[in-house]
Amino acid sequence: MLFFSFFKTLVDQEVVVQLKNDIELKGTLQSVDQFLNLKLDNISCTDEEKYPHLVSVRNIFIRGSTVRYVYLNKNMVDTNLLQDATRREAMSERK
Amino acid sequence: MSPLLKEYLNKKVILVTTSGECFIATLEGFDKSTNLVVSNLTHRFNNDSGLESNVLSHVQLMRGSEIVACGLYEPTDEETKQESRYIVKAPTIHNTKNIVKDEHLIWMKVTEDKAHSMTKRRKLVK
Amino acid sequence: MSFFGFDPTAPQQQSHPQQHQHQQQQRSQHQQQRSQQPLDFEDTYKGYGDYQAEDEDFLNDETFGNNVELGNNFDFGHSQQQQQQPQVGQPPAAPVPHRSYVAAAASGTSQQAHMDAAVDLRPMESLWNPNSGAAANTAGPTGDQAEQPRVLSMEEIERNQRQMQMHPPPPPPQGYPAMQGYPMPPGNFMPPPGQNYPMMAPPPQQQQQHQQFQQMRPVFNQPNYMGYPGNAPPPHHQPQQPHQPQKQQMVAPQMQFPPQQQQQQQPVQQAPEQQAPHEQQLASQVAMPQMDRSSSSLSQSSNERDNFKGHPRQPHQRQPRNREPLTPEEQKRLEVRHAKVEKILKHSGLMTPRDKDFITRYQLSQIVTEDPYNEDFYFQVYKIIQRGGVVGESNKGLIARAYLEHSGHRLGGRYKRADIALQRMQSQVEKAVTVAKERPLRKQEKEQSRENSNTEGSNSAGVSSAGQSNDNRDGVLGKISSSLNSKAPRRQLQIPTSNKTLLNSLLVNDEHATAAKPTNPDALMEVTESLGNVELSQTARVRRRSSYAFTSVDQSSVLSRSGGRKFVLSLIETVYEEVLELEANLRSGKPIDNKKLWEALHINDELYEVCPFISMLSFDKGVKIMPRIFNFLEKDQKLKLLQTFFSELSHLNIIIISSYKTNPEPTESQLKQIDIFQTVFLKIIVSFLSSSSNFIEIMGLLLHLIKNNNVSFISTSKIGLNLITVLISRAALIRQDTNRSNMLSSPEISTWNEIYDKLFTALESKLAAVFPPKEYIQKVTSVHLKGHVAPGATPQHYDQAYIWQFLASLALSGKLNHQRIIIDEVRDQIFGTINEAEQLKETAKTPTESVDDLVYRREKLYQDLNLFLNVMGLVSRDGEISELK
Repeated sequence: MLFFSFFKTLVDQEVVVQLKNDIELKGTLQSVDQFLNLKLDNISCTDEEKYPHLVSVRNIFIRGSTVRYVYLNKNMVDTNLLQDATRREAMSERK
Repeated sequence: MSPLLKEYLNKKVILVTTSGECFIATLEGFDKSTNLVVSNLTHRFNNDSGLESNVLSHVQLMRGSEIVACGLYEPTDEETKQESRYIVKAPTIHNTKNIVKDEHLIWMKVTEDKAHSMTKRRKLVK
Repeated sequence: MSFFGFDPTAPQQQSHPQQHQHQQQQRSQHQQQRSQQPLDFEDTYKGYGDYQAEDEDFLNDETFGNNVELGNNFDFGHSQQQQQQPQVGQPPAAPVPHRSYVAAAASGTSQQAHMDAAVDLRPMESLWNPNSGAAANTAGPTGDQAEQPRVLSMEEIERNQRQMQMHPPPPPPQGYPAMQGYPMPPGNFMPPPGQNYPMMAPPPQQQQQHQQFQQMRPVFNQPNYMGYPGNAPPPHHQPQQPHQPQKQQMVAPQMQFPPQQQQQQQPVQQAPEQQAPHEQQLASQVAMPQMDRSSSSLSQSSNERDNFKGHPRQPHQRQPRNREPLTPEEQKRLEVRHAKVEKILKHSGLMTPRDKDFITRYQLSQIVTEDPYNEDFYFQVYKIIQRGGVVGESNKGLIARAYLEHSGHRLGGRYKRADIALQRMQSQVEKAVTVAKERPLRKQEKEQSRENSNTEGSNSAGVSSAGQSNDNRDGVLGKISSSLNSKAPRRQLQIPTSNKTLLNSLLVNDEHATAAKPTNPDALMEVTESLGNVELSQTARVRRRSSYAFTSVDQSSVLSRSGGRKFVLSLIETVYEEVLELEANLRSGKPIDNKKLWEALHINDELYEVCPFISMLSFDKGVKIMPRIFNFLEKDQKLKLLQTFFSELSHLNIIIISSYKTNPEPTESQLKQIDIFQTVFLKIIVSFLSSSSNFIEIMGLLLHLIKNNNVSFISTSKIGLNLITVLISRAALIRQDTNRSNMLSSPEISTWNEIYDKLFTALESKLAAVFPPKEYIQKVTSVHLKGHVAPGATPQHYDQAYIWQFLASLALSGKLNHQRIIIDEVRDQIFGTINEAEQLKETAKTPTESVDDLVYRREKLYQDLNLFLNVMGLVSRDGEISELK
């Protein structure tokens, strides 16, 4: 749940998602589900020349399993809080 | 479960698969593991015939595990005019497997080195 | 379990074996009649649903299990009675009929053996007599009561039963050979085993039956195998088949079976004993139980045994129906049904009802969470923080606010400003100084009266020193324009000489007698007693020595003396867990018990040379958690914690890092660490001291510091100096405060003076050392410059304000002779600062720095310096020091 919880806080933020097939998509995170499937809005491909496939796509669903990286802005993360949340997660798993 | 795809239902979508293929189809249904039922499946780029009617399949189930992304296909007027899908030379998308060639050799080497250093250490201990 | 939503109200003859026998007899007759007609699909089909009822076989013991009248029903084929006369005579003799299966099963082996012995099993033999050689062989061991269960293989028992089951009313001898070649009707494996087995057991041989059960039971190892009978197609067709004259007819439908089934069938035809395949089929469907079969255990739960109970009457119904021929059409339907059922059965029984229940609950728990702040903690809190937090109206807001306040989160908490601690300390010092500044005026007015009231001798030293100090300062600071004679003697000087005796009497007094005093006499006693031991105690000596020996920046040396790095880190995590737990309790309104937290802090841990708690503060995360810990501690716990803290200050990693002596070249990360410590820990101390501690406690803390540490070393560290400043400035404020409201008792004051003397002695002649050397300052500034490359930011300068604050506090609490010494020692620094300020004026033309910036810096230097000078009624301005007006 931790990562789901974390990604939910990124909703409405602009992120760059790099897929395992090397495509990089920049867009506003619209929603995320518990599989960490992502939905991006207003996407643009960082290398449109190379990957024109998504030229006519603005809104895209990305299967969580094919995501390699999600690039975030540093200030989108509250590290102290995240540490606490991580500890909680670890505690609840131990129970 | 995963309502993310709901608003794409019965609309044209662009599908990217793990093998690097790219299709256009109409999304008919989905489930929580992103298994999709699509209709009127065509290639995103018609590199051979360039014919619209080149329908690969009228209805098809696609395994969720093979889906990379599913984007709503909403071409602007300009794009429609340009018929971007009829690019003759379709650019390739990598697959998502990222298989390293002869990976086993690398690992063999790694384990070899490990074993080597272990024996070395053992000798040192002795 | 209704798989296809079949109508469970359909023909009940198979479904409710629990019903009364005569009813069933009637019905079976009725059915016999019915079955003469071609079967309607609906009829047979609906039969599926009937099995739903069989799910309730669990309850059979209620209807049948206990004290059931087995009567005729258990007689497999009344027809046999004629042939096996001895058997017939037996049933009434046997005490069994009233014995429940459950009871029998539960009674275990010994009981069973006993029962076996009690019952003559020979009738069984006679039953099997007609059987062919093989059957006879297997029957042989039957006589051997004790061994029989082990000797008989599962297959053998099955076979026996089958043979019994198929035992046709017509002369058995002929029938059996025929049966041997007779392939099992495909559906034969289908009938609920529970129906099959009991049906086969002849009533008199109930004991035997038990034995058989024991062996067969494993097949039904899993309770949910119960589902199996339920899923089976109506068995009423299969049993008929054996009795059909045209057996070949049966073979044909078999052939049409799905390949899988046919495969299973093949052995049937080849095997000399066709019953084994039945077993195989059974096994193939319930693979797991089959595995268990060999290791058949006697410790089956009676629950499973209960499964068997419901079915004794089945044969009764069946036999009439057995005669009914199957039309090809029916057979076809049968096959279809079998196929369907088999499909279902393939995976049926993989999960027990408990498994299913577990899954359901698990799934539900995924959807519903009773505490979103535990499950979705990050999101929930983050969102509220982002929203600017703390929207009062909603419950969420409250919860988040609770989290924020208690976590001391940087975005929330009681004080928004992170640097609040320093500011508070500074303002504390400033406030004290201001009060001190105002005093001369008031004092002047009162001087006359005071002089009269002063007890003689008590302040003579003070008065004279006032006069001397004037001269001295003149010498030290150069020409001071006006005389300082107007300065009144300090208030301390008013203390009557009888102080000491008062203190003594206080200590001697029963604590109850002094309990009325606003201050705790115990605490005071403690402080004054330990005051006597300021000459280093044994442990303190060790500590001091070790602190000298280990004044290394390398924190591992300290860590190793409190259990090691890993140990300390794990302690920190434990502390975090406890705090998180307590915070969760706080949110959910549960009672808060900080016992575990307190233990986790290891404050009183004497096992290690260095208290683990001190080592925890070596790590940033250990420091950061402190405010949240403090939220859950009682006041005396906090005090204890701080006492430990001040006692072991020399071991504190941060002191070592922040001292220019031990760490002349601090790195950026170390400076950051110092900053964090300053903002976090100092804040705790300041707020603790200013809110809840009294004068005696402050004295106690200071005493702990002096007693156990090398004060002069600590004063070379910025953090250490700040800590001392916090203590003495707070003490000064309290003394000033009490000037108006509640006076400090004279013993308190004299104790304070003694402590102050000790402190001063420790610092005397080393006061100049509180100023870090130039190289150190340069280093720190350069690191800061590197670290903060924010464009447009003013270049960093080493802020010495904290030093002047310290000196001001020190001077504030001291007598004039103390002040004189201080000024004497830091004279160079005073003039150095003035010079620096004046130089800034001249270098103002340098293009690199803006005029504003230089003016600011100059002002700042004077401001800091004056904080100290004001204490003594002086002020420096434009390169000169003058008397404060």
